Amino acid sequence: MNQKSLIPSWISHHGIDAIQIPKHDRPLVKFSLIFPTGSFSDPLGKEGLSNFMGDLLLRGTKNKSRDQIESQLDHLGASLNAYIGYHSFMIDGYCLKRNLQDLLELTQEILLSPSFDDGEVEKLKNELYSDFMLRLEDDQDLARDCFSKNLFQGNRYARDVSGNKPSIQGITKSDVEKKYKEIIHRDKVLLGVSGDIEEHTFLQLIETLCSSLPEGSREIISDHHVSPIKRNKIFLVDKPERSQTQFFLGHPCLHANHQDLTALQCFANAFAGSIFQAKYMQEIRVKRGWSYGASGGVDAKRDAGSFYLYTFPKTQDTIEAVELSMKLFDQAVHGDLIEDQLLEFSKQYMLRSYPFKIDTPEKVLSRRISDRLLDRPEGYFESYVDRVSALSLEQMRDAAKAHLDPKHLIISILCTAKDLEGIENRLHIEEKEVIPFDLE
Amino acid sequence: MTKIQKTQEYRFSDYSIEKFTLENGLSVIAMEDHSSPVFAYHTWFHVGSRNERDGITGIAHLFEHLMFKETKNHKEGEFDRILEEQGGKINAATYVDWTFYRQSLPSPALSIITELEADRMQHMILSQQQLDSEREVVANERRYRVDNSPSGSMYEKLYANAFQNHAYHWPVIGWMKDIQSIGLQDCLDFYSTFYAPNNATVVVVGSFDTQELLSQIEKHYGDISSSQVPSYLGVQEPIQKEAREEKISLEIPTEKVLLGYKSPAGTHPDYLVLEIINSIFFDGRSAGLYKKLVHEKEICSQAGGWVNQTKDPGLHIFDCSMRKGHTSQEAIDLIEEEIQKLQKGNCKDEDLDRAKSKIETSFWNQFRTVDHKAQALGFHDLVSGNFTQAFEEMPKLLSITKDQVIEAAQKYLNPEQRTTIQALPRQKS
Repeated sequence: MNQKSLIPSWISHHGIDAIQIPKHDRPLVKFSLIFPTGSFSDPLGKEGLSNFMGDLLLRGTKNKSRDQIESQLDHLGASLNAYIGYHSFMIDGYCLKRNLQDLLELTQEILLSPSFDDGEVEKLKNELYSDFMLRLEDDQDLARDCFSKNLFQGNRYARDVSGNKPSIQGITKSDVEKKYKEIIHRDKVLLGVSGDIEEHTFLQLIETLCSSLPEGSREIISDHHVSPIKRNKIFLVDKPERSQTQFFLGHPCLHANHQDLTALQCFANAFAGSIFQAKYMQEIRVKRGWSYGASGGVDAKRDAGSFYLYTFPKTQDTIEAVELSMKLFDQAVHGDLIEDQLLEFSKQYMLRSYPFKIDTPEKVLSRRISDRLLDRPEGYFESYVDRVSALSLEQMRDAAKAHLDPKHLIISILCTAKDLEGIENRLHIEEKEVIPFDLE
Repeated sequence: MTKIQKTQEYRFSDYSIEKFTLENGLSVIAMEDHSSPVFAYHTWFHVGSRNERDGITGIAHLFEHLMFKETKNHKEGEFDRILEEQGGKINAATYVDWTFYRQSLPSPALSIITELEADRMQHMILSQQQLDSEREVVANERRYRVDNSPSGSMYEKLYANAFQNHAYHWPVIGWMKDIQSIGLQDCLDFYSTFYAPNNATVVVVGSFDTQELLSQIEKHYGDISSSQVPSYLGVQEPIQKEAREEKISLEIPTEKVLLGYKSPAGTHPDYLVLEIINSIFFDGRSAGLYKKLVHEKEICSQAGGWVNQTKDPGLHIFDCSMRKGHTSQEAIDLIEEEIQKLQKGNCKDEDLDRAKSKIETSFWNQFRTVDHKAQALGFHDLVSGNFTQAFEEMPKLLSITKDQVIEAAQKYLNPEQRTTIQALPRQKS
């Protein structure tokens, strides 16, 4: 367990915070350039703008067409992508070591002189509409989207990072250019590199990618307000001819920097974590055979979070499965469902599986970046083993009682609604809403 | 004491990979990698849905689930509990040609996993109640992967139509009627027939000492008897002489299409040429067909392809989702047009070079974790007949010429060897 001292830390070079996680067993290099402004900055009615700008950025510079860029990347065997989160805009590059210099030059050109071509703006809009259509095929996604939107109603976390059809329709080239200026500058930028790279190349990479970025000033937008759930509410996302349902149930919960997070995660792992010993998995899959998967946990984001349970039984078992899930949730928090022995087991699992959090340079890099974006203190990652080791059973139970609320739930079920008629009466739920799965 | 013989040694990059064989026929592949204090332990069995028959389709996959139940020495649930207690990650997978059990564990758990895996290779116990409970889980998995998934439904139809006699005809997860009727005796027979040391390869990659591993292997597997595993006779699939097509309606917003061209077995030299062709068509945003379908003509929202690497001849698959207002026939016509160009010799050096660059990056990328390394070794040991193919395919791919590409396109990508599944949006009543 004493590997924590081996994990590299951030350095500051020419005013840029950067980190290098070297490993030389494969001739591959990955870099991530992170601008800590994400979809939270998108104006109302223009949701998806940062994501749109990210896609468009890769579609042409003042000297290179989209075709030329894509062809060069493929010839290098490289990939270059823009990923947008709630709080970050990330440019990720990945290539064979021998092609790193070429990829860096191309990335620099893309970042500094994008063309934002009118034709590509329209093409991208059409592509995004098609992607929205394609998402209608995925039942799990549909259930999850409905859950998130209703869980965080009024909060920016309820907005889809990719936006929606009307918001995309309203985006103009001038919006994109403005967003570009707002995001792509040096202020608070981070750079992470992993893989087969030497110290001097790392320093050179910082200079190539960051020194030429324009100066700027970045506003960090927060949104901590989440409306409490006043009473249980069920949403049926109605799709024809389903023989199986997908459901999420849960409620808003603590954020990523809350002092109770580790204790609550350990409790949640015992109740519904990814381990087979978790009670939820045992009750739904092992004892009853109701579903191939049954899991849940704490999804702690920077400003807010959620606790959820998820499973996908056949239609005929659904009402019973939701009912049991609610009952188990209550018994876990207020009853004796989660024995001391299971909590201890969960703790041991978290400790002993720790090496899998750091077994590749990409994973270490990703954790380092995520801790930074979540505003966690220096050393948070290194303190994982100590934090978990120090947990008492009482702390875990107290965290559950303080932050889990089985009486106030949002339940989202992807199903054929007519098959679940009367579910609200059976489950004594005051409010039910049926939403067509393809509602725009 | 049983004897363990080293039968093969291979060096790749900084790694040494050794293969051993026990007297009872068990193969063991060991690759030490001390970069992290973890290891992957895989057990690959030479059994998959190809070893099934009508009436018991899906038994290989169902049995994979049952292997996590009870043994003479460990009660139900103990296998998972013991390994999770160690911080381990546990999973398994079944396909047409193979079944494998995978664990990733912290280094101190080596003797524990060796005992547990050897135990369930020889001492499984199974009750009707356990079978019935897991049958429900598998039926639900089928609803998830096939019945309620547009893509899953289409792939099932594709294989059912493309293969008429061969076992690749039925889905790995099995027909629902078979899942619901497989009996306890069927399962016990399946276990005694196929779960034997001489039908398995154990692959261990990560931070461990090979001598210690061999000593554990000898201790726990040494006394397991080998068995008479029936030779795979298989069924010859007749040569497809005319195009097959089926249209189905699904709950989808736009049309979708799958094209499956008959491809050679994974060990045939032409298999790698088809891999290159697939890369020329689909690997990267500038790849010929992807670019045409998605960016230039803007008729597809997604387009991709892959060549199934199987022991027997399989399929080279083209998979497209259409944009609103476009028919799957448009994609089929465009794909045919591009294939014909290739068949007529239109293969540019730059396309071949680009494909090779993408393949080289993917090659290295497949060795990310100890688990990924073990998977590559196990897969090639079973499907290619030699684990070294995990490393040796790469130079072969890089040496493929334009002439080989054109010849393979002419030989395999013909309409009469094609099976097409078009999915149309269900009409709203």
